[in-house]
Amino acid sequence: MQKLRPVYVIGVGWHPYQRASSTPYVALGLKAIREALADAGIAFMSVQSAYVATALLPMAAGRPMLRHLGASGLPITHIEDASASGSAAFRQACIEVGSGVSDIVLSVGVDKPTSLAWAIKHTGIDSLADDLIAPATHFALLAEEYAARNGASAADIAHVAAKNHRNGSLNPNAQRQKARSLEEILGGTPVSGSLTALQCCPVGEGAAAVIVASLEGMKRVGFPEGRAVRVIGSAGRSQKVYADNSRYDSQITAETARLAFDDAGVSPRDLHVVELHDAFAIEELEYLEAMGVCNDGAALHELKSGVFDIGGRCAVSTSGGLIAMGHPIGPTGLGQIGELAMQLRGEAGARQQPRAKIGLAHMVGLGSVCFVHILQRG
Amino acid sequence: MSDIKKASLFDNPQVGKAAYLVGVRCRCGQVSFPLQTYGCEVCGSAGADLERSIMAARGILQSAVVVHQHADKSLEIPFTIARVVLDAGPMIRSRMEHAPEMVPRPGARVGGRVAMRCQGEDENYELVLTEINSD
Repeated sequence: MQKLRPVYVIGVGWHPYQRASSTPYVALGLKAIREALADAGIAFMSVQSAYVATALLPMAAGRPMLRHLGASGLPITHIEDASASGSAAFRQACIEVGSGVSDIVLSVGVDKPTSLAWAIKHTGIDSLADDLIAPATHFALLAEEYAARNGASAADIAHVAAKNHRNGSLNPNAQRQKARSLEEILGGTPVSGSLTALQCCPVGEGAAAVIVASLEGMKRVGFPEGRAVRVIGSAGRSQKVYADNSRYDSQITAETARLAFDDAGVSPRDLHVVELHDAFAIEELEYLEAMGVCNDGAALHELKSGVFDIGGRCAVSTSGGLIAMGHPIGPTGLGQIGELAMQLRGEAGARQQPRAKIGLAHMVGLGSVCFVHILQRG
Repeated sequence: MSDIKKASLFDNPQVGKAAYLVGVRCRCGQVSFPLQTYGCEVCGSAGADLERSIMAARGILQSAVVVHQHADKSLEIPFTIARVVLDAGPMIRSRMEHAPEMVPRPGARVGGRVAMRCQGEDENYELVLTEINSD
């Protein structure tokens, strides 16, 4: 972002994440967008471009939804990066404003859980057993390796889920709003390895919208600069062949985060609040270490010491994370930006991280791809 | 043999015998599994720069987990999945057999044999991994 003119988040909104229902995606998306417009205090006609993030909706979902805000003729672009679709859409919106092409841009994520289809199954290259290996198994394997490497018990990893369910219980937009004890989590339905159902993100639907603007855009609509949250860093990467190729999820995260920190001119220890891709509890530990928020092997100890709690040095997954807030896919990355914006404005209510000034949002997506954004108050 | 799926992943598969996997070596030195001729993931070379490379299904166990739930309800659960770094270099994942309640630990030496798996109407060759006690 350092090469571009300043970009600010001025409006955020959600439709609560929830189990699959008969609610059409249009209703989900419009609720989130109208909430973001009201949050920004602007009319839809002020929006100059829209990025629509969806991984599972069929072709051309945007216009049938956006036309009901008034068919302004704005350019509509759909973005898909699997789980990271929302983050990718946010990055594009920031680049469009930062480059000067537009002053006010909307990014909205919306999804309903229709059947999942992965292109990697159609490459013509066979595999030994990939059809037996769901994401939960991939991460259960990583959990075993983390436990062996750090002399921890796999059950310890469930502490991540306990924290995130507790945070989710304070979030009216979360799919899971029930605090859970460690016993409940560990005693729940076994999924793969040490991972139980409450340590895995749920399947669901929802929507999240974020509006970004330039200084000129904010002036034009009379948005109070004191409430604006600046996007100071943005980076995106795709998976390479790494020297230690067995831990590619951590490698791509480390590389992307490093670029984002360089872009923003801040270090991982400067962060007050983090939202990351905790689809499975082990991921929170792996990515905090990979990003340098704590030392290698230290995440579990810091977690248990309260370092990552709301009120700790660096609150992680204040929204409830993917585990409790949910992971409807398209919206997820944008919902993270929305949470950071509320935290940095001091508007997060019961979930408020005190004195939050700098926040980071991280998502990975099938590929793998990775996007990291850094936001700062004032 | 052409009716049995996944045959191309194995070199001369014989059910019950030690498995040899068909990988690819690139001119740049990268060794990967499985064989593909689209192009090398490190340098992008294709065609004659890529050659078939046979590797023994033997290596070091990274981790193994018991799978308790799967979306495909035709699969018999539970089953165990293992992640292994082969002596030849590539990392593979396949089914593992072990004594009940005794999932092998990271660091164990493992080897694989050829087996047959039936999935609906399809027959598949399968790599089944087990811990080996001596090299």
